[in-house]
Amino acid sequence: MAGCPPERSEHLKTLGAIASGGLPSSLPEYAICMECRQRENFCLLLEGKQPCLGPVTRAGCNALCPTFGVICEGCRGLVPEANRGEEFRLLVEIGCSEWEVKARMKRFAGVFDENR
Amino acid sequence: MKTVRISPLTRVEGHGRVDLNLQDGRVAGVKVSLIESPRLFEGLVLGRDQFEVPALVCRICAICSGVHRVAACQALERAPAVSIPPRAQAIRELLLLGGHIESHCLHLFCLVLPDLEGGESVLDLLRAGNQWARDGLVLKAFGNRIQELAGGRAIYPVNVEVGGVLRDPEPAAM
Repeated sequence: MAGCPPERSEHLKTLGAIASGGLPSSLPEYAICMECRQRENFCLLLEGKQPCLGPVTRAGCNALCPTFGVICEGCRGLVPEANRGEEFRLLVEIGCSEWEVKARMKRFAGVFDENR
Repeated sequence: MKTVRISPLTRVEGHGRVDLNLQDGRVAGVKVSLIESPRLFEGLVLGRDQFEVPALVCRICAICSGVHRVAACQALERAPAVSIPPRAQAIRELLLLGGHIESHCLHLFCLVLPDLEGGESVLDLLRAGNQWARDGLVLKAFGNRIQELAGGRAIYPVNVEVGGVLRDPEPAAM
C-alpha cells in the first residue's frame, strides 16, 4: 500500500484480497497530475508557482490535497520512472533553493539522487 | 495498606496502568500512570527547514495528528513571536474540535462501550445491532469530516502551516 495515510479504498481492497487468499492489486503507475487534471484543478505548480510534487508522485488518492488547494507533499512515494531531474529544475525555477527541493523530495521518496 | 494494580489499561489509546491504594478496605489513593516510550522525533527534524517540521512531527500519531501539527506550528510561531490571523486561528480550532470529537468517540464507543455492554469488541456490538455503537461511529465519522474540511484530510492534515493556514474550508461544504 502507498500513502501516508493510505486511501480508505486501498485499505479495503488490500484486506479483501488477503482475506480471499490473493495478493493486493497493483498500484497506479501514473502520476498525481493525471488525476488532478481529470478533476480540472488549477495547477498549483505551473500556474500557482508552488512546489507541488504531483508530477513525480504515484497516483491513487484522486489528487486529494491539490483538490483541497494544497500542494502534493509526495506522501504516496515516487511514481515509476519519475522525472526527478525535471521536477527539480521546475522547483528551482519557481524560486525554491536546491536545498529545499532536495529536502522536500527526500521526505517520502528516500535518498535524493538527481540522476536516478 | 494494600495496592491493587491494574496493568496494562486495555481501554485507552496508548499504554497505562492504575494503582489503587486500599486502607481498611477503602480507597485511600488512586494513581494513573500513562507511559509513552520515547519516539525520537527530535532526530527526524535535525537539519530540516523549520517550515517542514509540522508535516514531519504530525506523523507521531495517526489518530491525533491534527493537534500535533497545530502544536508544532504554535511552537515555531512563538519563537519569533509572530501572531496569526483570527480566521486562521478559527480554522485551526475547528480542526482541533473535529479531532476531539473523533478521538473521544474512539475512546468511548470503540474502547469503553464493549465493557459496559458486555461485548468482546465494538465489532461484536455492531454485529449485534447495538444502537450506541452504531450512533457512536456516526459521530466519530462526523469528527473526521470536520477535520477533512478544516485540515484538507482527516489524517495528517495539510492545511495548517507555520504562520496560519493555507486555505479557507469550502463554504458550500461547510
